Amino acid sequence: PSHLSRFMLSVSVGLAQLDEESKTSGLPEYVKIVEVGPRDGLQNEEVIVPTDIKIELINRLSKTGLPAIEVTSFVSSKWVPQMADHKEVMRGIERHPGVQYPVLTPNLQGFNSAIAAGATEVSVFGAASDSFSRVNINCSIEKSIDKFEEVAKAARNMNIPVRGYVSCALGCPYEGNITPAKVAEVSKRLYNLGCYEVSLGDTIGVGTPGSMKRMLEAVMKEIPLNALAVHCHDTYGQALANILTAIQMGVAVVDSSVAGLGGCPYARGATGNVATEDVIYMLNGLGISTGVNLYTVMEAGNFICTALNKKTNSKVAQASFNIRTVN
Amino acid sequence: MLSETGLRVIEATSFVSPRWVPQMADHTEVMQGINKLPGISYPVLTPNLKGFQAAVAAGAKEVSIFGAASELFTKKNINCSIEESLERFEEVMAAARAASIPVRGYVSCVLGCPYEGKISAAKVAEVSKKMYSMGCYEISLGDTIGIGTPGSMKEMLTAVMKEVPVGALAVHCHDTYGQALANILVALQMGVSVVDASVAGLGGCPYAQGASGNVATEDLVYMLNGLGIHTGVDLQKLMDTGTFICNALNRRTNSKVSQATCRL
Repeated sequence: PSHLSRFMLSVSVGLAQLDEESKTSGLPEYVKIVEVGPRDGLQNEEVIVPTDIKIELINRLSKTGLPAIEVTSFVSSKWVPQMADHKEVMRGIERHPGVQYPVLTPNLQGFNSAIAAGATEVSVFGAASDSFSRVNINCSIEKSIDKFEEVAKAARNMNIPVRGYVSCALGCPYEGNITPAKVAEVSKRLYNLGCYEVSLGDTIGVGTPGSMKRMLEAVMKEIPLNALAVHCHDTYGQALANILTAIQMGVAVVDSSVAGLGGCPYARGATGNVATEDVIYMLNGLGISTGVNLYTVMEAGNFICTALNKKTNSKVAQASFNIRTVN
Repeated sequence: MLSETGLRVIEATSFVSPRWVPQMADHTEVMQGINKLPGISYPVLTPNLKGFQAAVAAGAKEVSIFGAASELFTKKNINCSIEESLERFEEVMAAARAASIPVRGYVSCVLGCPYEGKISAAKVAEVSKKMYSMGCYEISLGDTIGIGTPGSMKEMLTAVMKEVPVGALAVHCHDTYGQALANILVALQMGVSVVDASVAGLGGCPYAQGASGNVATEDLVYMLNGLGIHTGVDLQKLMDTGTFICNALNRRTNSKVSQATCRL
């Protein structure tokens, strides 16, 4: 099929650089991709997805080589109806060896529920903006960290790794500009709580390579590079350029969402998460290994978009599945 | 409207036969009809001497010629070899020189070709050098099918910069695989300071149905603003222009900045 031959074209063009580039360029040799589509992605889609579709999506993603897949969120279904079936999803998915399946746990109650359902890794969501924290989880940054402290303590006792997220790292829908110092401060708090990794989120996608660099410089003074991840939104089309900047600075963990699932709740109709396919395409072209098979991710993306009756947000997928026969 | 945004170069039209490019059939009327603001360049495409003469008669003060780094692409596109295409351009160059008209050169397929696949950086450097030596004041390197990544962009530019001074280089990235801004960023990091873009990301990809083509000027300006790089362009006026043309075309913008800003 023509789309397959076109994909082979792009893969061969990418692979040709695989060995050369990463050895000479100062970029990491390997980047870990954390797939947030099933949680962050679906949570921000308007259509409520049936449990079996969620499970099928995650099972497909488990076969792509992705090392980490964010499964669901143990929050009250009153707040996040899309994630109401968290227990069923957690219990229903296949667990592939070598793949992490983190879940969101905003508080101790969620944590206990997650463990009971079989979770082996959890995440907590902080923010670099007090206003955002208050609107999102109804408490100040300070108060939220107290709650996370409870989760972290319980997790430590059970040897469950905890990942920390910092929202609004490059700007806030309410406060506007966010200082790099504030991001560094919140990140440090989460790291000191015991988070093994802190994912810095450009929640509204307003960041650019300029602000990404300044923010990372501040954060890198407080947290080791290998504990950092970036979670870029593509609302203003800046995601890949921002991710490239982060990688050039040594960051080697990138969050993304299959098919770019998940719009932006702050800009109706605008996009949100960066598409995993587009990130992998770039990393392949840079000669950076990810362990992920781009084609199978595109197939998973195709599956979920068909189920959601929507067009993919991934440009690589759009280009690859629609190649006119070139003769 | 574009002339009021602060943009200093606006490619106005193409003096090709309307049989090949019906969209540009009104090239003479457009060229004669636009408001030419001082300080702004309005280059037009002139694939051959005939087109050049028609362009000059219609008031053009700058022209562009389109070469390619791929033999097969050249063959399919204009039915001759790269070498032959350069010979045709030589006629245009000579006429332009005589009329003191600056000529911009484009090289297509610099990061990959829909027919040949991989294109060697050496080949791009060779074609660029020839066009520069012929008298083009600037060479715009085009990722025609948007297949490039920061990796291949870097490799290609490294080779080209050995043959053509970086001050004479421009990049023309397509966003078909979402890589455009990342590729442009790399080019900027290597010293390139001229970037081609299209308002609202107008222009799809003829090689991938439904896929996008040109990178959106709004998204580019947004990034450059964030990097503290001066462009002289008013982003709001640019977005207004994008809205205008998308309404006229009854289509959605391809600019993410436009999509985001208009809905907040």
